Amino acid sequence: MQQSKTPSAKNAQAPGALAADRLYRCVDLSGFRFDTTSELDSVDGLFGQQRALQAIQFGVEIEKPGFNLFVIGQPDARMRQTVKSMLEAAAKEQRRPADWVYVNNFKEMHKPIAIELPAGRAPAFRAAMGELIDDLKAALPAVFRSEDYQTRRAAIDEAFQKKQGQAFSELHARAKEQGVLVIRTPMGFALAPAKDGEVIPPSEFNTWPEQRRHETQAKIENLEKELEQIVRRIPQWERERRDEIRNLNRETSRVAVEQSIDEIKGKFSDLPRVLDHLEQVHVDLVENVAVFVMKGEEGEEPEEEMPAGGVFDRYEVNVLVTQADHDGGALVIEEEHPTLQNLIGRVEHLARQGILITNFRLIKAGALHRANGGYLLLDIRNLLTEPFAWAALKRALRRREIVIEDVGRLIGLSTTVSLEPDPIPLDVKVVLFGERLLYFLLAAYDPDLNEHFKVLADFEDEIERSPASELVLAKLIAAIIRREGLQPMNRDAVALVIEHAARLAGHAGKLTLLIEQIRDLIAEADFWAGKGGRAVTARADVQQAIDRKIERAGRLRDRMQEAILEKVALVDTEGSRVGQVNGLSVVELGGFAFGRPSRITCQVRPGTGKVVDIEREVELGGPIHSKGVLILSGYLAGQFALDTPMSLFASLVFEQSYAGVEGDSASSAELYALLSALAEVPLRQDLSVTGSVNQHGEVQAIGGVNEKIEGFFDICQKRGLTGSQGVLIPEANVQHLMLRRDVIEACKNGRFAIYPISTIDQGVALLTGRACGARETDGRYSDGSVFRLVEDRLRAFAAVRRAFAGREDRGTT
Amino acid sequence: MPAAHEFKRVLFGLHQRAVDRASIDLAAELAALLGLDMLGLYLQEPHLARLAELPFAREFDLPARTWRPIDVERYAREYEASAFAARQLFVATAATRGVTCEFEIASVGAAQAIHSFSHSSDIVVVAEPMGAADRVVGLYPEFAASAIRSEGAVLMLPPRVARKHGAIVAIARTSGDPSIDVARSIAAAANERLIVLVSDKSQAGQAGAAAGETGPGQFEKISLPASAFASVQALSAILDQLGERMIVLTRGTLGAGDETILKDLGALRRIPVLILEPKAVPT
Repeated sequence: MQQSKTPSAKNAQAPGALAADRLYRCVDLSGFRFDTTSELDSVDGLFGQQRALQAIQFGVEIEKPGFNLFVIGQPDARMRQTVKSMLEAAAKEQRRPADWVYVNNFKEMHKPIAIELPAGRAPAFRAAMGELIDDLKAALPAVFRSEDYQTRRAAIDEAFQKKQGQAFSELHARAKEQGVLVIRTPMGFALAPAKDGEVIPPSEFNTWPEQRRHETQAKIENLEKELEQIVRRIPQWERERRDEIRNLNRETSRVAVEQSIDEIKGKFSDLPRVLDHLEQVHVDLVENVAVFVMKGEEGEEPEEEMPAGGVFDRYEVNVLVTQADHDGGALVIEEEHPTLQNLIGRVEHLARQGILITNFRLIKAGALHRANGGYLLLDIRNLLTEPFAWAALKRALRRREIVIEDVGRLIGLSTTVSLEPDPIPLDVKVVLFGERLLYFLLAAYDPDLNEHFKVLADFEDEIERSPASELVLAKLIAAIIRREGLQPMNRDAVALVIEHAARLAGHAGKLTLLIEQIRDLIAEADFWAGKGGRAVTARADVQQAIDRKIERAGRLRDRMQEAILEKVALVDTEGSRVGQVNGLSVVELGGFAFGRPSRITCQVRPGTGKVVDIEREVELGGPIHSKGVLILSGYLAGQFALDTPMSLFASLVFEQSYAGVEGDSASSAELYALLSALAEVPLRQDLSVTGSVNQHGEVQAIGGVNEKIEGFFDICQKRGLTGSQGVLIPEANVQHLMLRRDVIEACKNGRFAIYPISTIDQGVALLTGRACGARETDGRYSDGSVFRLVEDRLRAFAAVRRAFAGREDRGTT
Repeated sequence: MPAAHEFKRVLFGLHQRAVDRASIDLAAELAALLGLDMLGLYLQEPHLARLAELPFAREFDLPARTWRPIDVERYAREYEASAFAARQLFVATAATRGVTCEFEIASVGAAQAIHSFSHSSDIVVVAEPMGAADRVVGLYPEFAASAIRSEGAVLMLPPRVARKHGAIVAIARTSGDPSIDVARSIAAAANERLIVLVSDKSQAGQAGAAAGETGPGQFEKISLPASAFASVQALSAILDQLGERMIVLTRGTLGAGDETILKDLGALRRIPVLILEPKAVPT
């Protein structure tokens, strides 16, 4: 292990710089022989996910209600593909789901009837009904055009006409006998005295003797009564005629309809519900045979028509779901857009003369219908962002049936006539995919979650790194290359991909399981290899892919660094300053993270024992950052002037920070600045600091250590590495180091250094070049030590405060 | 009686109860087949004006099924509207058949109207109303009777015809009956079969069929015993096998005063019957 150069003023407490081999963990493929990925076996993407896989297996096998799956993990973990492939394998072994159709309800047309058919038979049923109607369209008119029917029909009509005609003829004859004429008016009848077929002129009538006139009037009145009686009997005769014709139609159509229906019944004799429906169709056909043959004829209009479409539509079959095109097993359905209607189906409407109308043929299946008997895969975020969808899914799972609900009715806006289709029994395993946060939020706030999603499958983000796991990842890389049709990758390139997987995991001892990111890297490396005319992807191609990706996303990083180099943003990388230290933060935008050095300063004066976080005062600091600053007060109170009231006023600030600051990773840097300001001891500006601190002065791990180091390194490198520059990191973060090659090279050459820090004491020693000091027998820190200076200053502040308080007391008494 | 080509016009008698598109169309078809013009004659009830002046007169309103006073002004409005609608229908229907037409309104009674407007070269169409009451009461009976009495030929139209395609059947006592020529003209124009039923006095109870003339005017001749012409039922039984769309015959063929028989035959067969005047029939 090579020690880097240490500061000249370093005392015994200052830790040494990390050796280069601790800055990056190389892949150990020594135990495995292969030159390119072509020689490696493929593995699936399931390694390292035993916990999740067992959960999924359990979820698939258990058949009790409510044991649906909730799969959580990072979006790039290929959860969906993994689970889907598992489910598809399981589904193949399962029973092929049934077909479902909706047919007309002849008794209550607004309540279409759902019929279950064995898998794949629905289209045959639909075709059979279609053929039936087509046949009847041809056959029934022929039957009704036949001479036999026409003769019988004419006989009925003639009898009716004869009955009426006879009554009127008799009336006419009687009237004529009595010298009265029956006259047809535009809307009815009238009677008048007549002679030779002509109405007697009123002038002549008035000359008649009164008695004759009265007699004539009396005759007319009697004839009027007869006329009235005849007219009143006409509707009854008409009803009788209609009944006779209807009976004739029934009788005529029965034979033709029966024969056709019986043929279909024969094909579906094993399905009682289909037979029931056919019986209803039979009755309706006979009752409404007019729609086939005599539409438009007087008195023979069909009594009711379907609300939408033609009169024959009522006999059609709406195939809601069918397995006719599906070979075998259950189905695995993904619904990318789980709106309420896409989920539970919908009843569509047609506009007819400004009115929205519908019928059973306009019922459309939802994802639950299509997945019924199998698996339905849904993204929980998509589901939750669609109004009513989540609640509808839970209702369906609870009721174990699919009820098509009209969204308009749900919100009370719809006044359109709609349908109430039969609910369809639901037997589906729902698999939700989502981020952990959503799951935990739902678990906390939705008491129904556990009722319906009892099986949690939590996908790991990373796996422990070992030679064995590295080899598995190498095989997975080979599998991805084969699946994607990419060119093979050589051994060194594979090694770099694996090392990058560790970097993505943010831990030298782990490998990411976010396979999608690995896939992207491999694909991009393949592109660069192809661009370079290489048949095998090399390490340089992988490196180029990594670098180019950073470069593409690095505009903001470059502008920030440019601002520092141009001294727009003030960050020193040499010299020493009192109350000033370089802190490090991580900026993550659009999936790209980079480190950014910031100047942290501190000012102190006597006060009431308060450490002011300026970021918090202006509401730029988040709660965790504020917590970190408050911990500093605790540290000071526990470390210094224990017998004296804290009489300090200190203000801490991230200089030139114009956006929010969150996290406590700068709390150690802030403490160093505070101690420096109190002790009036300058801090080295060629070092940068990261790490949080607790009240006991222990430095704790932070995130983004690699990016932070590289962020400071980039600034130092561009200004020129001096050999004294470096970064103080928590010792606990050493295991996370997977630094860039140029950083490692600089460290190896003694031009840059990474210092593992476990206590504030170590950091103080390194940053000040002086011992921090330890309490001696008199209870005071050793002379000249940093801590002695701090404590003396705090006592001095306390004295000032006491004196000030005494003056105030005197002034008030 | 003119030969077929001497007919000049089809006179269609319309009144408020007999404005039926199907009937007008059948008449227009015949006019088109024979190349004739059409006259639509709209008849108004002549008695209504006098009726209104009778102090006790009242009208039984069918839709309302109640009695109400006579209102001459309302009648006038209704007749005007009815005549206008009839004209529209008549003209439009004739136009679809490509027939030239005229339209007249008569309020002088059916007999007088026939006398005034019809000629011997007319075919007067008597369209039987749908309603039984209208066949007995009102203008129809008078119009039908007057048409039969007129010098022109008469086409009796049943309210709902049995078929629109089929043979043209001429019923004749002799092979020189003018009905054969007229039927031949119609059959040729309509591209239908022509069948001639001839009473053969030599046959005693046996029917015989034979090919008639050859060439473009080819027809089938069926000789029947005189007994076959004796009743509507007997004739209808023979027609059952022919699938006729129109019957053409000369008045008197089925006996003196055979109008009633012809009317019954038309009603039974539900087929148009064209009755020709016997005057020109050669003896």
